[in-house]
Amino acid sequence: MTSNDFINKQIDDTLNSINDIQRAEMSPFFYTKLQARLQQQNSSNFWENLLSSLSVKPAYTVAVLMVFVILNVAAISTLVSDNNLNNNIPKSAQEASLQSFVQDYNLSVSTIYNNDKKSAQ
Amino acid sequence: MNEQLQIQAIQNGDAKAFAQMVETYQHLVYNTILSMLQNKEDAEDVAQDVFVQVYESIHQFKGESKFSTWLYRIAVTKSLDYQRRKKRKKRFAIIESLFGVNNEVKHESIHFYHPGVSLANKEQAAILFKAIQQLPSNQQIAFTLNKIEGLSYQEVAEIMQVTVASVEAFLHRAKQNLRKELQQYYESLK
Repeated sequence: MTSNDFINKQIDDTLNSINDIQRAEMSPFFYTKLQARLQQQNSSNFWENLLSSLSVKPAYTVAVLMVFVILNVAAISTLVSDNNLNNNIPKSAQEASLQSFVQDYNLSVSTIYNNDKKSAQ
Repeated sequence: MNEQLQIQAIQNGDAKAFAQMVETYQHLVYNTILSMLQNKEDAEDVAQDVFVQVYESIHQFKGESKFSTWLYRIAVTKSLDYQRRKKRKKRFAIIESLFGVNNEVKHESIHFYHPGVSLANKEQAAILFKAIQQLPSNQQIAFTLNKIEGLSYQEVAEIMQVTVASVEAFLHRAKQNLRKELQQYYESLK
C-alpha cells in the first residue's frame, strides 16, 4: 500500500467513524436547572419591564418627571410658607418659646461658671 | 398526549405539559447543540436558552411546520449565535494579549469526544469533529443534522429553510472540505 492509499484509507475511516453515532443524553437534572432559571427570569422581569417601559415610552417618562417636579414645588412652597409664619411671630414670643423648649428638654449647656454659681448659693 | 394538544396546553400556561415537552425533546436539542459547540457545559447552557425561548415564544408557533423542526431551528440559531460570540471573545483575547493586557494564554481542550461514539472510533471521531469545526456554518449545520442527528435531506431543508438541492450541495461541499482538512492533518503526521 502506497503512502497516498494509506492516507486515503485513514480519511475514509475517519469520515465513517460517526456512522453508528448514538444521540448524546442530557444530564438528569436539566429540567430542575431550567425551572430555576425560568423562575429567576420571571422574578427579575417585573422590575426590568417597569424600568424599560418607563424609559422607552415617552408618555410614562413625562408623567414621572411631572410628578417629580410637582413634589419638589410642593415641598419648596411649604418650606417657604413655614418661614413666613415664623417671621410673623414677634421676636420676644419666639425667644420665650425657644427658652421653654430648652427647659422642657433640659438642653441648656452646663458650664463651670454655672457650677461655681450653684456652689456659692 | 397528542403533540398538538400538548402545544395548546403549553400555550395556555400548563407547566406539566411544558415539563413533558422538555423531557421529550431535551436529548434532541442537546445532541444538536453539543455536536455544533463541542463542549458539554456550553451545550447545556445553550440548551437552557433554547427552552427559555420556547417557553417565551410558544405563542408564535402556528403549527405550519413540525414542532421538532421549529425546535431544531431555534437550537441551530442559538448555537450559531454562541459560536459567533465565542469567536469575537477569542479575537478580543488575542488583541489583549498583543497589547499585554492579559498575558495568560487559555488552553482549550484539543479534542472533543462525543459521548455517543463507540470506544473503537473515539480517536478518529475526535479528529473528524475538529475538522467539522472548520466548515462554513451552512455546511456545518447540514452535516450535523444529516450525519449526526440522522435527519433526511428533506428535514434538513425544512430546518434550514432552503431547497433540498441546496442541502445536497452543502453536504457535497462539506465532504470535500472535510477530506481536504483531514488530508492536511494526516500528511502533517508523516
